[in-house]
Amino acid sequence: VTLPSPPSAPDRDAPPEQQPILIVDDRPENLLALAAVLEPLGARIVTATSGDDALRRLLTDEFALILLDVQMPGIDGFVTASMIKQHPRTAHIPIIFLTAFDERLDLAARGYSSGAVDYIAKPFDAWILRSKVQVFLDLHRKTVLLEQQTRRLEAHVHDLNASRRDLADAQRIARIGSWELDLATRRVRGSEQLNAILGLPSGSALTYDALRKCIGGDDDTLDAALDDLRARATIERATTLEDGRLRHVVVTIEPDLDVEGRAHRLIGTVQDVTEQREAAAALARAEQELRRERELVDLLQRSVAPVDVPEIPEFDVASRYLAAGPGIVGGDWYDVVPLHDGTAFLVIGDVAGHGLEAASAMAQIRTALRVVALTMHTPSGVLQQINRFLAVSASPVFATMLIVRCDPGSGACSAASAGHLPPVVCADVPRVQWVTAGPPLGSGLSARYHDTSFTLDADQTLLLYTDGLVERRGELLDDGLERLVSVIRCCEYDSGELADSIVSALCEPETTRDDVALLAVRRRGLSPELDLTLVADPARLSQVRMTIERWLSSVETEPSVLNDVVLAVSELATNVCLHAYPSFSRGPLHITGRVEGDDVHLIVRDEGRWRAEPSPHGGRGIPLLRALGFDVSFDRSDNGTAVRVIAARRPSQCEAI
Amino acid sequence: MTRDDATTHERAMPPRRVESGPGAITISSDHGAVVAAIDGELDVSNIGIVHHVIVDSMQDGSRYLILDLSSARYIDSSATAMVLRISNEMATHRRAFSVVAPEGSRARRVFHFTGIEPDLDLHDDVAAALHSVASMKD
Repeated sequence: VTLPSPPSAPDRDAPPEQQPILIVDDRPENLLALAAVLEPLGARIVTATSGDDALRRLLTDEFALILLDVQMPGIDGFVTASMIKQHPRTAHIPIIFLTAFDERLDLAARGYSSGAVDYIAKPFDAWILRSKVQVFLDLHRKTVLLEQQTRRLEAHVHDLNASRRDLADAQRIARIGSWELDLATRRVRGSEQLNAILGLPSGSALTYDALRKCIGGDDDTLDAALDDLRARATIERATTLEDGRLRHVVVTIEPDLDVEGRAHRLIGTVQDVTEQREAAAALARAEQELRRERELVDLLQRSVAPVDVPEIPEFDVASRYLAAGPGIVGGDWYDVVPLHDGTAFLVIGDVAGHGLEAASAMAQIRTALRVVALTMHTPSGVLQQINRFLAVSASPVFATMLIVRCDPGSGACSAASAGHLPPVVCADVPRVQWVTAGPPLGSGLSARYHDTSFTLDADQTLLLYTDGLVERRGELLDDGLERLVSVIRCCEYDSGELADSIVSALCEPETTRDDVALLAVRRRGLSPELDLTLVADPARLSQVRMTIERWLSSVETEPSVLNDVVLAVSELATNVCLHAYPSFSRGPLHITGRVEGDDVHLIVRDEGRWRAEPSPHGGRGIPLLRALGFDVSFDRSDNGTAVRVIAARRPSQCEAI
Repeated sequence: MTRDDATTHERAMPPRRVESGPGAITISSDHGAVVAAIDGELDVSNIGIVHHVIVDSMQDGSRYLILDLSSARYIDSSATAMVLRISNEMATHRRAFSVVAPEGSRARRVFHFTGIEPDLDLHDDVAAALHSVASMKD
């Protein structure tokens, strides 16, 4: 067995976004397998064969992520992890534990207490492993970028202040020289300061040519212009001096008029404004740069914040995040987590504080939520687990959170709150939906949470929000809630319009001090026309099947044919997931359906062109559909592939005839 | 797939249950056969790990594998491909392999319409599968 050789140069010098992954496992064959699985991600991989070995490497190198085997001879994975987490220089590095199956729940809980962020059960599914690692690499990359941008922003603010100082200095030392020109004789006289400005030897006599060169323009027309000057003139220009320096000068010319209104003498000044102009230009550049950087930081915050909410077909989800100010990273967040039974967690939370610390605590809680949601399906249970996780985590975190589990089919909801504001149901008569609230997360191990049940009817919107939306200084919270309910005028809006109308009604810039997060989830009633768009991801196929099944039932498809139609759509959706887009990129998957007489027409469409499959029709799937009696047709173009399936809603009677 | 003694020892404690995506697999032993029972759904999101668990469960030298799909709520063409692959692997390693997919089950229907029914030793329940292998021994 040959292993990837350890890097010869320390990775501390590597750009942070290209820092390698550290894999720790005592078995060389496991290291080899993991390295092979992670290779397509393009990240460099460093291996260690024991906890000691790993800690040694961490002393010298920087890593984006650590994959850590739990069971190793010598110091085991947990001890290694707690040592990594105790060291300030390495405490921030996310750790994914690799555990055997039987231990996974117990070990996951222990994993939290030593500060890990995730675990993967052995034996590994290559796909799951790669996806999880990719998530952490992305998060790491974004965090690093955000830190870089924040540092650059600070540097620009510093430069900007320096430019302002330069400008003031330049004005203070502004140099002005004066001159006089007799138009009849073309004789000139200049001040000593003018010599200095024009780079002429001290004490030398100013010549008409030197002055003309300073004022500029074609000699003949300049002469004529000077002769005809009737009023004061100011000329600003760049001029190359005798000594070759390029300077910005402002020349003022004042005609001394005789009784006939003709100038016989010109008097003027020359001011060297080079420093001012350069400082002003630098100021403008810096200001522009600062604006751009702030936009970037905003953008990054939005990407660190979990705005990438997964689509649930029956949910029309809109989310808004308003930072407390440009470039200010806050701790408000939201998420939508689909569960395997077709329900979903709708989550909103608020981590106390601002800045990168709050944002990173938020990312940690969000990851914990997603991991806990794999096995824990009651909102109160999830809150309890996350609270335990926070109670033992290294840095104290204080956070509120509201979790609503909603069944898209029936609208049945159960909700639990850790000191968070109650959700609002936007219906014909909007109402606050009170949820039994336990203490905020991080307030102690003994906290208990309880679930409250309610129903979200079709075409109603559930609104989750953070306190910045309703709280005003010196005002009762009830007044804020009342104001929120009063601005929800119409429940016919789609959730995006609703969110915008609420934000514009309540978040005037001068009254918003805190950051605000808003999640609006409208439950669509099933319509005779099915229209789904979601990300082509094999993990969503189960959800797709549940939605198709509900839609087929709603358009009165006989149960005896329903399963086959679900199979047909799922086969086509699988082909999109596997073959429409290149590995590790995810494009859209569109599914539309309508009723045509006794048939349903379903179209599964992608926007990809990439096909790895040698067989253009996706292996065994299409022959299976045809064998089941479906009419399957393809429409291929540069914009993607659409596959249409026509199926009878009732079992066929034709066989008997 | 090579394992050292420690993990072989760990593995000698059936049944094991592994949940993955929309489905789950439970490994148990019954009269010397390894029984891998699927519940929930089998699709492209979890066949990789299910395949791995099944093959792994045969590492301790069992001679007979029964894949019980009677409780599988959903199975598709990618799952049939996995079943065929296991069938070939078991044949290569001279292990007996049966599939439980009763008449009227989703699995039976999908096997029928993908045309792989004749390639599999199909039974209505685990007892029938065990009986069949016992008679093969005779």
